[in-house]
Amino acid sequence: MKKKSIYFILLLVALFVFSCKYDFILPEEVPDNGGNPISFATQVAPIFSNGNKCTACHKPGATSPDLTTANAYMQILSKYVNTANPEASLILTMPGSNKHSWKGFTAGEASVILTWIKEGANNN
Amino acid sequence: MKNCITTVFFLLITTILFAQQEATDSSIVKQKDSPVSSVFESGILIDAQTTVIPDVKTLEFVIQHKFGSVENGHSDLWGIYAPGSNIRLGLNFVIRKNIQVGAGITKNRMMTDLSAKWTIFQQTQKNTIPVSVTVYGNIGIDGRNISAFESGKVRVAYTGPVNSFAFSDRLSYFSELIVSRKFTKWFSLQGGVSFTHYNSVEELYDHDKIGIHFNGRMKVSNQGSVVFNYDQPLKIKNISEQRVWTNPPKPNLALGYEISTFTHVFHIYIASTNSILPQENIMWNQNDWKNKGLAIGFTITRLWMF
Repeated sequence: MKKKSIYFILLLVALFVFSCKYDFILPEEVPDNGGNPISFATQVAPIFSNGNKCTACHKPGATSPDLTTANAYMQILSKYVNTANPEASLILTMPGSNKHSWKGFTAGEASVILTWIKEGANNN
Repeated sequence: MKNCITTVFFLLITTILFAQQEATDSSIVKQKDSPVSSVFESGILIDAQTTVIPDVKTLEFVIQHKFGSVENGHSDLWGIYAPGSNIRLGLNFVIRKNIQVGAGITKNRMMTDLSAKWTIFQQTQKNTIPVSVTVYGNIGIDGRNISAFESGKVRVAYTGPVNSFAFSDRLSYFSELIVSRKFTKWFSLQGGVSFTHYNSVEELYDHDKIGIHFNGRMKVSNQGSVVFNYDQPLKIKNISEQRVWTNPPKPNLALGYEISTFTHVFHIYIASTNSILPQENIMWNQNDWKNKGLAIGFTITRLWMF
């Protein structure tokens, strides 16, 4: 084997070894809403639609529930929101689970949705 | 632990490199023994790397696709209509004899990957060398928006300083030593040991994972073969940073059928992982093949010789 090939592979190995890091991603801080109730229109619905996070699939004519801003509230209220046991609401437990592993909420997003449900899941 | 692992890895690769140099020099005086043909039909078997590298100046285009899981049965046609599919498009090029470089893009985590593969020894017809030995490595770059990384801040180890999420935190690595043997015209088997590293993970997970891999092919006709992959992430306490195992990754079992021609290879299979890149599979797979975690997929490769 020619020396050039050896140097090429040593370079790749060096790149591998010397760019290693051992960082931990810190969880998102839970936003402080200053005692005001969480707004569905301005705080919850954008979680679904920003960057097409949920609405890439959950849109009219596609996968249920429709989470576009105009329809999200009516779509999730009956089946996906559980005000008696907010932590068990499907809108919280399904994303990121084994049955929906490709998308999930960050800790901050989940906290906003949970607080909104605890406050009565109002269409505000 | 990091220093220990990197030192061992560096020494291993350096030893292999210079052992190969000596072996090449001494083999000049020996009688020539040519490599066996078609240990596998392609450099990829389902989603795993094999010891096969095409001829120099060959370009390979790879399409890998997995549908959603079969858990909902006929209601979404066993995952074919389900969301959660994954796809990778890749290009590989053989720059020197037995050295291949490649690049690809994958839907999950918007990953871009750069890879290199080197077949150090090839199994020979007269059995002078009884097995083929290959090293494969890749670097994955997570291309998602910064908002996907929780607070956008990272802590160096558990007690180090807090920094902003940097480009290097998007990187992950996979390296594998693969040994294969073509036992008969219709039966080939290979095994591998791998080391996976993610530069940044959430606090309940490990940065490093060692895995073992088994892959095989049994020809049933001139162009058709039954193929399998098995990937087992190991639970090694000594390299774990966690006191409690949180959602340890599950093994991947894949069974498929291969159809090959001179320039194409096609695999259709069912596998218990949604991941395509090997580091994603070893580090994050939560699909359980015993509990409806299987997904249908296919892989297509096309070669162009220049």
